[in-house]
Amino acid sequence: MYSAIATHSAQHDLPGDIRLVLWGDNALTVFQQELDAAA
Amino acid sequence: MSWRERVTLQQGNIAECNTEAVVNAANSELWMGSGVAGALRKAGGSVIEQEAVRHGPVAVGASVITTAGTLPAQWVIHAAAMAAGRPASAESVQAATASALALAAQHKIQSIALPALGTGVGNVSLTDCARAA
Repeated sequence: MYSAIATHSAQHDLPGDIRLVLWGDNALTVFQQELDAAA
Repeated sequence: MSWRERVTLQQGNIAECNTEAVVNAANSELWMGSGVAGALRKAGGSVIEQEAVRHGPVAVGASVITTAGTLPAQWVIHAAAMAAGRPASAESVQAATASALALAAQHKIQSIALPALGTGVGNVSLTDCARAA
């Protein structure tokens, strides 16, 4: 999903507020790790 | 502002989000069964599904937009990350995310909530979903 967001942002306007709404502690951990890795 | 600064992560029920749009983890038939789709239909009413299936079936990776019934959001963007009854993939998650964002841009939507597409019955791992692809 981050890849698609990054690609879209390079070509089009992105919404100012993009919330990833997740179930479970593990999902939050994994998505945060991948977001950090995308820096 | 970079794309990363626009992204926030939260735990909870996407059906309760008060963003302009919420994204449904849809299948290509646009039926709303279990998981995220079921939660959105339960909270927002079957009118959402009735409107969605009038647009279907769609290609895997495509998205359609409907009104949101009684949800706090104004719009539901149904992002088809999988064929009905079939697994999703990192590529289909990426395509569905991209098409959902494109629809949001067309409709000048400024706030949007997305679930982890394809990680329920689609069986994509959380890591593959987050990266996609």
